[in-house]
Amino acid sequence: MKSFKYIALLLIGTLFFSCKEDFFTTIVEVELPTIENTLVVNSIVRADKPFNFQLYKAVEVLDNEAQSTLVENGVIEIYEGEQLLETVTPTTTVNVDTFVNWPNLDTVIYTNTRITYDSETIAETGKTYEIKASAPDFEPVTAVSAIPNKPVIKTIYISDTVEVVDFYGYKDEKIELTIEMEDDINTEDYYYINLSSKEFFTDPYTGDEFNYKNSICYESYDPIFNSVETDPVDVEAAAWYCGLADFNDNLFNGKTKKFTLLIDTYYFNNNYGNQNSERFINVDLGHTTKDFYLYARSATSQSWNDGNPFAEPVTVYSNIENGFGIFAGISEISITLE
Amino acid sequence: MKNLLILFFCLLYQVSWAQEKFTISGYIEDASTGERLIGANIYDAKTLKGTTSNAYGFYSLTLPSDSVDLIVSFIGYNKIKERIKLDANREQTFELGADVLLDEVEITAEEASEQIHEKSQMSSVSIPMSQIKSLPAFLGEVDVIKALQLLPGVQSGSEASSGLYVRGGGPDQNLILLDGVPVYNASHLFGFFSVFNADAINSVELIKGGFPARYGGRLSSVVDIRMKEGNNKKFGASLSVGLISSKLTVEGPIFKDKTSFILSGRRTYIDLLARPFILAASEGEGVGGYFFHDFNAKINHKFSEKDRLYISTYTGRDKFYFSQKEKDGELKDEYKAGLGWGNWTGMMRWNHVFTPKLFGNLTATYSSYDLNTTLEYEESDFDDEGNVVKDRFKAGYESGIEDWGGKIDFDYSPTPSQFIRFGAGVTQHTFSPGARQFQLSSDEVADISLDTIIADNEVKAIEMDAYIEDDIKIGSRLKVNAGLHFSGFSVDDEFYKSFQPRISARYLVTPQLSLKASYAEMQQFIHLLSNSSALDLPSDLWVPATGKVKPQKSRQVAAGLAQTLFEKYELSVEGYYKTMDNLIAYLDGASYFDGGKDWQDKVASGSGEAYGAEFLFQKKTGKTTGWIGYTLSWSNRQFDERINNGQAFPYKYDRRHDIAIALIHRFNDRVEMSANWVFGTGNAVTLPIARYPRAEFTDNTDGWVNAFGYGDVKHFDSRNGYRMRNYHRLDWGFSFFRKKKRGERRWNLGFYNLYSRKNPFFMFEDSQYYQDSQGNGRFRRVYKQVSIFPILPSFSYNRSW
Repeated sequence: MKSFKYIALLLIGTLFFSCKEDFFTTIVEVELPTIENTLVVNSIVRADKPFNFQLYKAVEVLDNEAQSTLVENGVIEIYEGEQLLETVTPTTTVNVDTFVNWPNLDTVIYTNTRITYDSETIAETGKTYEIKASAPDFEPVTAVSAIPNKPVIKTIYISDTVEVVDFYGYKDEKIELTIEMEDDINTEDYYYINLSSKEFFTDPYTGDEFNYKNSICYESYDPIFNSVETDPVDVEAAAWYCGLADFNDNLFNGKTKKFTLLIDTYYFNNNYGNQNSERFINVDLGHTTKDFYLYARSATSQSWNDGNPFAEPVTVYSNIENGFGIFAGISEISITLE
Repeated sequence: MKNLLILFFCLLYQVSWAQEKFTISGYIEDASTGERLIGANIYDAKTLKGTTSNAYGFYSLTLPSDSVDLIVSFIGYNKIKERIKLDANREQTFELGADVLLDEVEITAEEASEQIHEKSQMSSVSIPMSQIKSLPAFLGEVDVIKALQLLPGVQSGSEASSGLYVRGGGPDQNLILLDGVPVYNASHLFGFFSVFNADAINSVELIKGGFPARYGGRLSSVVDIRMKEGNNKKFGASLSVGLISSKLTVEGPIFKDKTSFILSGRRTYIDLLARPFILAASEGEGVGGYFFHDFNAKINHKFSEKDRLYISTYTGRDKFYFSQKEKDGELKDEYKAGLGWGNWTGMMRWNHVFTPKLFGNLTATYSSYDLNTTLEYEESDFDDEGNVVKDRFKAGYESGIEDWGGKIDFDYSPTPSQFIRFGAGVTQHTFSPGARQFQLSSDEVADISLDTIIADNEVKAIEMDAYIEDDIKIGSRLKVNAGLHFSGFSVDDEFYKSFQPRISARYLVTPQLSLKASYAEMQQFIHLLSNSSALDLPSDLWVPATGKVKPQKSRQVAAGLAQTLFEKYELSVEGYYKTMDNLIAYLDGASYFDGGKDWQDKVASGSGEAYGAEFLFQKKTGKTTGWIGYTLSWSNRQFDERINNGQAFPYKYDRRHDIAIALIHRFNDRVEMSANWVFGTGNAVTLPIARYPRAEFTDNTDGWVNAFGYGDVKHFDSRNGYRMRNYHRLDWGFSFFRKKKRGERRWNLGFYNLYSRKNPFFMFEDSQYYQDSQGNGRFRRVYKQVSIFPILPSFSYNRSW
């Protein structure tokens, strides 16, 4: 019995010692590869519009700067083949909202004055451009992108209200938006669809006019939104998007493709019956490069899975040689549904 | 292939009979329990020809007609010496008595069993159950899988996990057999404990390479665990009461020397201990907890010396549960949530001795694993007229795998120099990758009524295999185990087949030193789909090879040397190189929780390579036993461009250095001490190295569009490109024995992580608040490491009758 008491005391003492709070979480020093003065170029080039670039310095992941540093003294050269079309320098100052994630804290939105680099050169469909960006103390970076041709929409229409049963079995009423488009058999093509609503509102008391623009959320059971594979798959659940949804032509290469988007009837109600407002639905169909598609997919996936311990970490695609970011062309058709 | 078969049959019939020979055959048993002894040694002291008992304790030894001096021995037992006049075929069962006075009658390893340098099999280790039970146990739970983790070539995964990662392979690549039946999920409590109750286990063997042809279906290892058969001499029982669980085992004869049984059960009681605290914290409204239980049962009946029937089963289950009731007058809300998973295996085997040289068994097997989760609630409220109305919701998820199988196996021993095994089997797999159920109803709103099941298609597949292998001595120095394993898999409209050659050989350089080499091809028709998580989650899905996802394949070559030193010590050094094809992994960003997407669209196929060297110095007999193991290894994976941009990257459990030292010392027949120390290079993890602003997308009216997500982009240099801190830990244990009038009493006292090393379990990015030099509050970005087990004391009380 005496030895039992000693053993019990030993066990309790050890348990007490083992439960010290500072044992379980420790700040650790990590030796990660250093990122020295690496340029980031972000540029989505729209057909028939000037080039627009943002230039940053990438920061190390544990750097305590809230945001990456803006590069204010860079130079960007735009080439078509061997021909230098333009040398772009900082041109515009704009106010932008930047979303910054502090680990395990709420996202902080900073409104900053930012310098952008705007060209006078207009991006033309069917042409391929190379850019070379440089700044003092940085290794120069390069990237190449084509400007795709405009997509071809054959028909576009909306249905009357339809009843749908969703993944969980719930019944709901939706408006069907159907788009029929053509695809080139000779190329691997990438597209996006973007729905937004624009509302014009007149204040009944002051007569002031306002307009609001909002992304529209929608869903689709079409496999083009759910699969990056070439084989059609059974899709149980609708793909759900707010804003832009990208897809490729793996499932309809060279064919006329008709697909349907399901939109809440809410977006078609005229601002809850407010007589002083008018709402329009805007449909953008974009034709993009593969680089745009890969960047959009990977960047969205990384954002979506940030902090999810069960998901595999996502490497965001970049086509900037010797740096980070994206340089990609798009070509778009916009249609307004009244 | 053709030449190999011709050579094989030449060897089979090469036996020339210069002198009349007879066969002595039978069983080798434990004298006190009648338990068959696996791998016991029997040899003729005159000719030095001998053999070992098979997995059912059966031996067959053909010797020239003469008077023979047989020596029968097994580790932990007193040997038998018996002179026999061999003038006809003869059946004889040997009963070995347990060696209770180790210091007086010390059996040398040489006499006890075939020594390491003599075996043609390489990359194989067996640990006696007595040693496993003596090692320090995590929270007092003796665990056979954790003992195997201390061997070279075996990684344990994360802290305290009972996962097995053998020679760079994944946890799905281990063929874990319980009485010959595959067990799919061999762990409880997210991998902290294995499902094997040590009190019901008779033997454990691990094969890491040079696989004999009789095994197939997995790439990286075979863990062959045999349950006890039950004492057929007298009734006995053992009780173990530990910190988190208790075990009770009962065994005995139903008909003495004819029929015996063993029943063994285990249950944890963390939930029962925590229940009062949870009730108090929830003011009596909540109940929750976790427990697991196991139950093993086996019965065997001897119809005659030639026929024996075994029936065994294992069932085990983990369960998390939570429920809460809230009452407010007439209104009552009730919430329930549960998560459960478990295995069930069953086996019926008929042993038959066809001739003294031919032993066969026919086996029917069943194995299943399932996972289910439920979430339900019932809420009540008053309607406009003051009546109580209820809303009910129930959601559930189920997945699993079920196998039915049959096989027939033969052991044929034409001469002491040759041991042939052949057989065939077929298994029907039913894969249920996932079914979600939803029920919804409301008293108030008639329209809301839902009862639906959404399920991935159940897949049925047939797997078949056949094998032949020959363990043959060629001359006095060379011994070869050569064989061929055929397997086929029929799923949907696909039929996969493969012929897998296997060969291993040893060449005696000196009487105590041998060189060994082996080559094995393996094929595996099932995959385990799992995420990168520190825990062994029960949600990992078993899925079959399909038309789109091909079967896994491996090729492994190994070479090494084995030496017995001073008759007590065994030393082995091995190098290996293994390639693996058609491995699968979740795509970047994909996870089990992506609802509504076919699993085949969430994975990429790729390849892997693993290579390294292993060193094992072992002492199995004497007062001090144990081993020192060291592994130097590399393990990499490479998939298409959708994972890590197509670049090769280290496997999650790639571990450059791994050291394990296990020691057991018995001071006398009352006190025993044990310790193990492990060291491993830190596990590979994926950490970002840089961040930069995300590109922005505006539409043609400069309206911001959510095209690329929010926040900075994090740049990862490579998947698994960073190492967590090195892992090391010392465990210490003491056992105090006392003989009682009937049976024995044993106290175990143990300490896990004796020096309370902060070993990394996982890491995460965090923000730390601090004040700068001006006293302003600021945040800085840091990485934090989570450690889960400091020094943990444990005890258990064991009593046997």
